[in-house]
Amino acid sequence: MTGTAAIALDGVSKHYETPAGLVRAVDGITLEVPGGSSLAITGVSGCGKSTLLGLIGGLEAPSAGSVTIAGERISALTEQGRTRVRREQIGFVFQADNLQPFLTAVENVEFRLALAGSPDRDGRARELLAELGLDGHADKLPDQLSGGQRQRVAIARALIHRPRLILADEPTGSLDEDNSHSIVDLLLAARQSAAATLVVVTHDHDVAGRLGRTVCLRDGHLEHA
Amino acid sequence: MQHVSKSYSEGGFEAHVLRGVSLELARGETTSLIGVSGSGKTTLISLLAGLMAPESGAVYFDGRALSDLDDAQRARLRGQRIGVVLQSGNLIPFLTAAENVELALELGGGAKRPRARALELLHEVGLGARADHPPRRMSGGEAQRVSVAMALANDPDLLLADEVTGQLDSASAGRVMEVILEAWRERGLTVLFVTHNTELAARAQRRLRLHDGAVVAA
Repeated sequence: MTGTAAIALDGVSKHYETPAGLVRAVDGITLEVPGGSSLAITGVSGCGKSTLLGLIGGLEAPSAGSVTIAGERISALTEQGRTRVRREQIGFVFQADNLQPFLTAVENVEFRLALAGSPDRDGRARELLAELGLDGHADKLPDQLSGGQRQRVAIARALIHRPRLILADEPTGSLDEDNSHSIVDLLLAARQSAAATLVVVTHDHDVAGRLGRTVCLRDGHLEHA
Repeated sequence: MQHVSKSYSEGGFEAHVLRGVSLELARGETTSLIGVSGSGKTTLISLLAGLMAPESGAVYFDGRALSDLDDAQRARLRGQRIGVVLQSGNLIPFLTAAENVELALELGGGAKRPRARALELLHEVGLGARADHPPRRMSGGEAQRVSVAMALANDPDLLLADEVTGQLDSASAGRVMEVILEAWRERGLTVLFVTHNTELAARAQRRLRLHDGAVVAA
């Protein structure tokens, strides 16, 4: 994988068979996101925006079409190939912070490095937590942190392996306005300093307005670009 | 756990969730704990795992008070000797089943061949073929079995399971329970599982109920 982490979606669909019939969660989307840029994906709930993010991140395989990240067609890879791309290239942030409740903040961050067998995991994780304003909180459990602090830990976890693509699914969904603003600040700063590409799924127009470009999804289709 | 009390206050209202609970889990025994929602079952599990501290009383693991340990020591104890499975599952959504188990292995101190060990554990819970799937491509019961594999990763002495079958249909719930009991038989674990399902609770050797902040025989 070479070059910047540009994203190219070509006729991407994701259809599910359900007892009620076929659901076209994402239906024939073609979209290009230049490497190093930022994009907001908006739309009402159920419009397919989280599914689209899952397809970009290789968490799901498309029913049709192709997904290319930094020149590598990830939709043509095996499960193990997609796992490698996720592990090396992508940082994920979700609405529910998904922190492990019985691991401390620093442990929640360093495990990504543990999976890659990197040295000095503890030191790097503590340094990043401090950069994100969590100095003195590294040894606390998620329960002992506020919602905004937990989301910062989740961002540290997403950034610790220096991904070239940051994917965030409603990262401010459970936060108040001030916390929400500072979380977007952190994501934009991370994109800037790592020359990463940032894609944020959000229903919040204030959040979307701070990113370089916004696309709106309706019933699995792009409404305007 | 001796004379443990815990209360929460919210909006000026104070709820005494546990009132002086004493409870001893015998090594190698399976214990079930039932109780209506809000009765403090999850609080009890969190106290036993050292995830929260009691207001009064003490929690001991192998004779040692958890309150005598610092955060890092408690984290190590959880990583190496206590396996915890939660109702909502504790899988990282962007990691595959095998990676989630590898994570548990790494945090417990590391395995020599984490990938191979993760595959063995997934095989043990009947998910050998699902190793490379992320959680969103599994059923709820499968995801819970991955959580069980994670909890077993570091050969714990104690397995704590909090309503792990709460959101599953009865066939999936039974399968998850079977995986836990199989691990108990094979490994000689001490098991405490919390449930509101009396049928599942009956499968434990010792059956307890949490009622009005006290633990009584069920």
